[in-house]
Amino acid sequence: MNKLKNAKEFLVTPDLAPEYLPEEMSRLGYRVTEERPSISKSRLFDTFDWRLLGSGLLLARGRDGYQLYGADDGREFGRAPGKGGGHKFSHDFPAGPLREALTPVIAMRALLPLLDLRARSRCWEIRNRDDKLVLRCRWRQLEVRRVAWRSDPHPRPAKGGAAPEPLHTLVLEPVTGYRKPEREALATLEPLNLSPVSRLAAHLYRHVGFDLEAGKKTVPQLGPDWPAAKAALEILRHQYRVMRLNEAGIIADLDSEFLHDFRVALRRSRAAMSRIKKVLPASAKHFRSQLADLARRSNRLRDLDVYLLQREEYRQMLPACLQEGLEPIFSVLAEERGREFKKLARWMKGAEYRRIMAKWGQFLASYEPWQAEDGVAVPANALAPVLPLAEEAIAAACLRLLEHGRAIGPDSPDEALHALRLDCKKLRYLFEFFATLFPSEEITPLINRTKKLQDNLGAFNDFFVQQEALRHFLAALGRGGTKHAAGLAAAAAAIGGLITRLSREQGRVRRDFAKTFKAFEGCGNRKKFCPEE
Amino acid sequence: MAKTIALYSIKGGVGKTAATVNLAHAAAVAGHATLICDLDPQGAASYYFRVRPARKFGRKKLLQGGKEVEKNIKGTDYELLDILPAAFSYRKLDLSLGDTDSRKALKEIFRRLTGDYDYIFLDCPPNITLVSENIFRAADYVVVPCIPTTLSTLTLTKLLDFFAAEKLDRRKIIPFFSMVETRKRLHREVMGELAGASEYRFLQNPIPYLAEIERMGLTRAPVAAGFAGSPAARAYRELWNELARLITVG
Repeated sequence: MNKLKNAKEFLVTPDLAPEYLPEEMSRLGYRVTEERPSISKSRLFDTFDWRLLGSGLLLARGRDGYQLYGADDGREFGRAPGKGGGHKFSHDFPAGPLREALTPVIAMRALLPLLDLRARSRCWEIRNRDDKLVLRCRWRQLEVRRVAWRSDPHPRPAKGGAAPEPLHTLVLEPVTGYRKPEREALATLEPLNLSPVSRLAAHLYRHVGFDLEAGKKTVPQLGPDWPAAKAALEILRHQYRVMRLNEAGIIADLDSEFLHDFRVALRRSRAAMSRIKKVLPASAKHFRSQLADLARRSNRLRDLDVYLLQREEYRQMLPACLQEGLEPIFSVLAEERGREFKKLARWMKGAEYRRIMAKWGQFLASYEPWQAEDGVAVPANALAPVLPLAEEAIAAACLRLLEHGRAIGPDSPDEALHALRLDCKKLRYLFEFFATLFPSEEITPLINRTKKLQDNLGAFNDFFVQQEALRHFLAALGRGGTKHAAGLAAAAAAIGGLITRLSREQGRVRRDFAKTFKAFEGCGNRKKFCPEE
Repeated sequence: MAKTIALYSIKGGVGKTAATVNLAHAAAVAGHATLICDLDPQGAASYYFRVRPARKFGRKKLLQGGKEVEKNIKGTDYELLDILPAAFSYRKLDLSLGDTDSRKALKEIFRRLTGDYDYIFLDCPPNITLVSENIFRAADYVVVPCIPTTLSTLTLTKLLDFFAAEKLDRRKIIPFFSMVETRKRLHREVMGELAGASEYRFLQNPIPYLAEIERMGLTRAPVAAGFAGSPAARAYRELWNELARLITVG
């Protein structure tokens, strides 16, 4: 990529002579010299959901190791040595500017090798009468090839194996303080009607057949007058696609986020089936229990993933002298995770899972109640317009949340808050499904209030669940015999320390509840969606 | 925040501009965004980089600071290295600075630029004037080339006295030996005497007297741009490494 700020890059056709622009500049009176041509090879990396590209970053590995660039201006953020693989997560890189810039962007996601780039470049220096460099122009031929590897989680491109045509670009690299030569070069190029490439990397990825939109978590846009069944199907099909998209990454165990996204889509599918009532036929009922079973099979693995991801956070909660006590706990958790993963992966590769998904997919593709012949019964709400149904469902869920929430006082039992969390979740799902039916300025403030409330209740629940898990672990330690008495004491002390911290945090969150709920209750837009007489 | 390094000498002809150009180039090659401010109305540093100032740029624009300065910065032929060229009207810079509140005027101007660069090198005019006093306040370090002769030592002592009298931080002053000819007995003697003297804090790496450095006026390029392995290029690189270490340690 370019290393100069303000460089402009244009896509050109293969028939444009590389020397065209330098010759024109020479005609304008500049001294033009060609530098030695260069060839560079690099491999580009990104996460499955394109986090680097989304943040305007680019990670390339070339002859000199890894380099992290700005995708637009080619500004370098950092380098790290490294020839072969082994740099999957940000913590695999040595501490330094590269890792610092990378970590907040990719978080727990793995870096996947995506494409190999071979750039052949010819470069001309344009100099003025003082023989001062005032502009560089570069002609580049880019050969790109998708990296082929066994566990690649991306869908295979439709086109087949043929290598894509090379791309050609023209780059103008201005020198600070010398604007005229650049203006003249741009004027020369103007009749050619070139298209500037602002984000070459995205262009290259698409060129080799990657779908940059596939992993997008946005919900589908619904039409207010759609039949409810059509809206429900649109939502369910989207979730189905997300689930299928993440399968390969789960089975290859690339990072924990594949399973997480898979499970979110799974939960949304189940929620859509139960929240949008009477739109699917009775024959679709068994899918609900099959999806529930699918969720159950991955519950423990996800729990373990979360604990392991929080390893550092847990360590930080403890004073240094207690931190070592956590290590045996985490190694036990990691071992269990290994077993749970194998179990799930084996099942997902098996016939039963594939059959369930195939049948579910077939149903979603073929269910068309609006095409039903006369005399064939369709579910009561299937053909009703979706907007009034959505309004009604949101108002009802909102009302329930208000009633239950108002009943909660400082002395209410924890269970009341757990129940309220579920009410809150139901409302959130409705927002997720139906938000596109309402003007954004009306629904977004309400969604944000609900989200804050759900965050509060969710944190309360998380702290509770984590303490439960630790108590279980403590009990299991006690039963495990006294082989490692010293390790046992350290582990117990660490667990005790953690439970203390977590319960204090839980208390803090509990105290925030009243304020958060009041903000939700008093939100002006809430009254619009859920008027109480 | 950029570190500001002034190259300064009361005496002319001691290799000051050559040091500015080559140290700044070494800093840029090491990966640091670097700016040279050519404050010497002779404009030798600008000449070495083949850069001319815009016709409308001069001392008044310099003292306006901000955008007026930024838009006159020019890229050199080398990556990461920019230059603010000198204008001939800088010879009257003292007049413009001539009111009492002006001892920190330049400091303000450079402060605006420090976000964009890692190092800012100031190539200063010789003599002790209001301009140099401004520079002493603006710079984090004042690097002083000294030819190892008795007279040079005298001017260095004068500079240290001036700092003391004006209550400036004497620790800013970092001298190094310039245009050293090891075949000369006097050079050897003076260096032997001063190298270890704690009141001067001379840098360990000297810059020898080399024809290659003199030829910069013809090549109009930093010595390392021609052949990075040449003795002159190596000498400046080592001097820069030592200076950079000193700056990072603080």
